[in-house]
Amino acid sequence: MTSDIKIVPLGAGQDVGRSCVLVSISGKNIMFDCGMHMGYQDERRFPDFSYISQPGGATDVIDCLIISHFHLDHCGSLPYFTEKFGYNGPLIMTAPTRAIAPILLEDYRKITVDRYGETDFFTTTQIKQCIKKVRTIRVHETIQVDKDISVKCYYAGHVLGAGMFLVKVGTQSVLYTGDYNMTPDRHLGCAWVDRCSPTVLISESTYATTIRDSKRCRERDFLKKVYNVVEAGGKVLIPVFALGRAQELCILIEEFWDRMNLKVPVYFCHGLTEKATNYYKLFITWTNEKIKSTFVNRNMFDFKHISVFDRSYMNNPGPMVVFATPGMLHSGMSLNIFKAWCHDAKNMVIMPGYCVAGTMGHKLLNGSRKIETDKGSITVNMAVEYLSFSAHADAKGILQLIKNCQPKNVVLVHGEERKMSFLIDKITDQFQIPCFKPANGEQINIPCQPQVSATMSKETFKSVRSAGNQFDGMLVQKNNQLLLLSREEAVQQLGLKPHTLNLNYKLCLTGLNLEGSVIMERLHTQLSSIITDQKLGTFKRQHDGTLHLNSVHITCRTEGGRSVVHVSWNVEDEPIGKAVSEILEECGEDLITN
Amino acid sequence: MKITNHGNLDHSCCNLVKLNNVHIMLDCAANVASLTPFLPFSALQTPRLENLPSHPDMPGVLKKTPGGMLLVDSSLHLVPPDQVDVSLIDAILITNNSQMSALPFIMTDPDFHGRVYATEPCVLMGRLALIALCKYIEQCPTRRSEVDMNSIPSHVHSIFKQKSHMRQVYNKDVIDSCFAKITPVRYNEQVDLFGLVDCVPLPAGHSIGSANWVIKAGDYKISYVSSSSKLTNHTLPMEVISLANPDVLLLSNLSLNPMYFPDNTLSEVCNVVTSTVKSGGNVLIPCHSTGVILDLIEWLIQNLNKNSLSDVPIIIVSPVADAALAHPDIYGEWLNDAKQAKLYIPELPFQHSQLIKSKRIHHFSNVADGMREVYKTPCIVFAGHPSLRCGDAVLLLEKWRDDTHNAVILIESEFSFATTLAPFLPMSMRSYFCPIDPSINYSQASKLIKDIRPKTVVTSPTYFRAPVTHPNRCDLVLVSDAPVVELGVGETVNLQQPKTSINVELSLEQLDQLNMQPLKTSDGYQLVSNVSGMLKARDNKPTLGAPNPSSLRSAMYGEVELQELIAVLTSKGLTPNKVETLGAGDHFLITLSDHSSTITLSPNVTSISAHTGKMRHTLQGIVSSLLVSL
Ligand SMILES: [Zn+2]
Repeated sequence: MTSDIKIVPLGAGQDVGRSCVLVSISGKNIMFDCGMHMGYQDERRFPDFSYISQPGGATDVIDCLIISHFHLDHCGSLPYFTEKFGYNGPLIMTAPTRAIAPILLEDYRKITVDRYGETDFFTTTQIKQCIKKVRTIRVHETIQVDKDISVKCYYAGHVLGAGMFLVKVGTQSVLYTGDYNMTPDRHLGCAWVDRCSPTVLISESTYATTIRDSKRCRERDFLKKVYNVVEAGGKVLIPVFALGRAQELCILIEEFWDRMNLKVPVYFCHGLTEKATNYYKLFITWTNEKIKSTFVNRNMFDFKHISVFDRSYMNNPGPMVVFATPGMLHSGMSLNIFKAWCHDAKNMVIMPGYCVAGTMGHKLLNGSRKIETDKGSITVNMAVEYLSFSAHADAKGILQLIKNCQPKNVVLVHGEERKMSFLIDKITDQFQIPCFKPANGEQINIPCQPQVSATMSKETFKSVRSAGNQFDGMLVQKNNQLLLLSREEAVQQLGLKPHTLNLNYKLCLTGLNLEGSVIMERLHTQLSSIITDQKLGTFKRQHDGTLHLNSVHITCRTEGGRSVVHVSWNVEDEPIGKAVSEILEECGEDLITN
Repeated sequence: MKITNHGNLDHSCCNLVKLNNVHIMLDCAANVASLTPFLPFSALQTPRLENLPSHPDMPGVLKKTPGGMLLVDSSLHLVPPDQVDVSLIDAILITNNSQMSALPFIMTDPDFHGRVYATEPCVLMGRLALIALCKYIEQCPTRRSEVDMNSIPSHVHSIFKQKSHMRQVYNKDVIDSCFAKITPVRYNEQVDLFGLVDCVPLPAGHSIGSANWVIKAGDYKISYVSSSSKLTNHTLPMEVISLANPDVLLLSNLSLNPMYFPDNTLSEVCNVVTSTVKSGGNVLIPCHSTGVILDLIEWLIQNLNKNSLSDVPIIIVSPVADAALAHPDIYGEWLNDAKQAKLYIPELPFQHSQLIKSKRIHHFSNVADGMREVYKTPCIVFAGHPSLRCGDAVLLLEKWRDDTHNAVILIESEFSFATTLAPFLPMSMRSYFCPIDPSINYSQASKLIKDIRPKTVVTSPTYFRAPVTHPNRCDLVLVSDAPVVELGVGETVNLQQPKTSINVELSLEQLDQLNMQPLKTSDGYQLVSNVSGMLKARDNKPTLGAPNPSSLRSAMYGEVELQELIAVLTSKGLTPNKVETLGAGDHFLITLSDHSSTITLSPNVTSISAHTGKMRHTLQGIVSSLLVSL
């Protein structure tokens, strides 16, 4: 039972892109995410599945696959893995992810196949078949995958439907965060997790060294750029994909236009129409409190300032802002608009996301300003801006999550190696827990301490809980069971008999010839002045001349013509008995002479 | 384990369960039927009702209808759960939105310190239902008189027998502040109560977010099944598997009108509506703005279209109509498979938003709010309050009661047909009772008991007697093959719960320092170790933290065996010089080789005398190791 937890990133180990982390926990293999690396056109875009190539196929190796959210770097290889690689086991994601992921996968498939003429890629039908296998999970729901594996979903913010997943097998557990953010944004709430104390927390670390509020700054930056261009009479083109970033930017522009009372027209082109925002309307319970509480009167996704674009508007004079698909300027409306506007230095194109090599977007971001098209070369005079809006936790957010969930180990993925090292220092410094950053294909073993539990009676439990949680008692092994007994229970159930352990010390006064009562009187005075610790108490003199404090008795007897001081005490009063006997042993009869 | 029924009717539930010393209230319903003895009122004057003759017993307070029913002219009152010690409650679990009406009474009690759990849609729908009621009351043009409920003679209505704790209906601020404090949960979410009890809500199939609860204390399992439905409706079907094999099945809220099958009454409603509008009459359906109405509208539209009556306006009048109609569409994840599948198209799960957009359905917060523009005869109006004691339903009924072409259809089963309509009788308008109660009936409940195999069934004794109206209908009686414990209103049952213990995890620090030693006990030698530390809840599991002895004085227990002591002394190089037997033979005096240190042994006292502190300390250690200190 107490095997190590083994973790291997098949992708996103010390890297961003193609997230895929394999976890082996108590003999069960869980795969978290099945992403695609957008930066590669060859097999490197898939996670390294050779690691799990086995004669029996992936279904024999993997017991459960969980997709954290709809971004392609987390789900892009899913149809490949299920339909081509042959995984047929449990596949878990949230309902919004199940709704939106296939659309993004289809968009991506189109670019790859139509644009690059790839033939060995998954098909539309395969995407559909893959999605049919999904079992959806609600926030905070616990799903029992089989008799050993349970999965619980937590809210992660980041994008609509993003989840963090706690997988438990036996006494071990792993919390995988996917991408998350710890501050609420325009349309989503922030990630939340209870004190689930997982054996291992696997956290993303994209912005491991970034400071908080940087997203707000980037938003302000974005709005300022848009505003400056339209104020100067220029046009702004924002190439986006139909879902995700587009809705967030629309909310941002909508709010800004409202606040600044701007009249400059804002359009989104056809690919972004109702269908896309409908998903957001249907999944409003996954957005933040503000949107949830106001949607009856005003649906945040019914935009007042943004209207549908018609290609005839392209050559309208004066300023405008246009959101157009696709996001990488490789074809379609966004490319057409770009070609029409790029000669004018007053205009601007803002790329809000990643661009695949070979696309116009990628060339622009790499500094090309002369672009070859089928109609000859064109010069780009318009301003080109790149702004990343991904909502990820920053260092402070990651530390906060660790504090909230109290893991025993932390593994960092989905980030740059150098930044991870910085964060690891902070984590080990603040929490004194082991922290790892495995590279792709590198297996780490996390030793698991055996978990031992003992049973406690309801009555004792309740009385301990009501008395400040301090437990004092005994652990007893009985019939292969461990019992935690309170003192009273232990005495009673084990049939323990009270036993007095009595300790004695005596001091013979050889050089003194004093009355016993005088000796006792002087001793009393001396002890009272030396033992001043209030906690120990003070000696009382009885009328027979003896001194008493709790079980400690001091008497003076005459033995063989000499006075002998006897000190006697029970072990419970050891602190006092010890103090008295030490004083007598050290000072001898000087104590009484003076 | 103890269960007390604090409810005051079989269908306004409130059970207090004491399990593992945790007090859990299951549902918190006020008796809504207690609205019926009051004089109906609405936003506009209704002279006929206001001018009903006074009853000589209490002129100005009691009014008499032509049919002889006495009505109290006063602000509306509800009957909250009976005799609850609010301070005991650790948690309240809610099954569905009709079982929350007493929450504001309990939650505003300064002695209440518990937490309330309900599913996310249930919190919202429950809040809307209560807000609708308060808004109807606020809309009343004249201030209702405050009548002391204790002065009402009990012959007016049975609820005045327990009048001492009738409470005036709360206001919107109270509802808002209470409902904001409820913890929303999802199906299959584990709710942990102090690490002692674990509660999980499961789909009940009754309405959006309706839940049955599985409550576990260790291996002991209670399945609380209330307002469950086997009907095919808009919500997720009832889950049975997770309810199986409980120690106790607590069963409540079976169908209130088991003589009526909801599928039949649903089509009867459609038939009455069709024939009424065909003859040019208006239809009034007094109802709540959430729940059954959602399915009814979809059925009705289909039926009207089939009968080429698609131009008859359907009007929903409720102060919460907009929210009540908008919200079901955002709870796609809580709906049945067919509706859930629409999320992925994407399409709205319900038809009504589209029908509102296309002006097939209209909704208004009250009759004065623009209804005039779409109103034409014939029309179909859904309006509240279903008690017919307040709201626009009262107004419309007063307006339409004289026309024999018009029809009123009562569909909410918690209100009795005769009493609800009594203030409006006699009238020419036709009236129909078509209760659409999705709750399982007696034979379905009997089958459920067979399926989930409980060790004990705890339920209302009334379910085992056929209704007075149908004494020979054995299908209207609950049959249980498991032992039954009857729990009537106001009663308590005590059930034997196997002695449970709590699993406490030992922290690594604690394991590191454990020193298990054999100890002679009344059962022979056992391995024991002293432990102390703080008990913490980690991952909702109790854990004993790092060793941390308390300052409590400890005492010694056990017995010191002479031979054992000599053996240990010898092994430490302190071979005794002399051992003497004293007294009756169970006292010994051991003198050590330094001639001045001695140990005296007796069965329950050991006494050590030593010349130096160091020697005494050594001997004390040796003797202590043979004893146990606690
Ligand atoms: Zn992401």
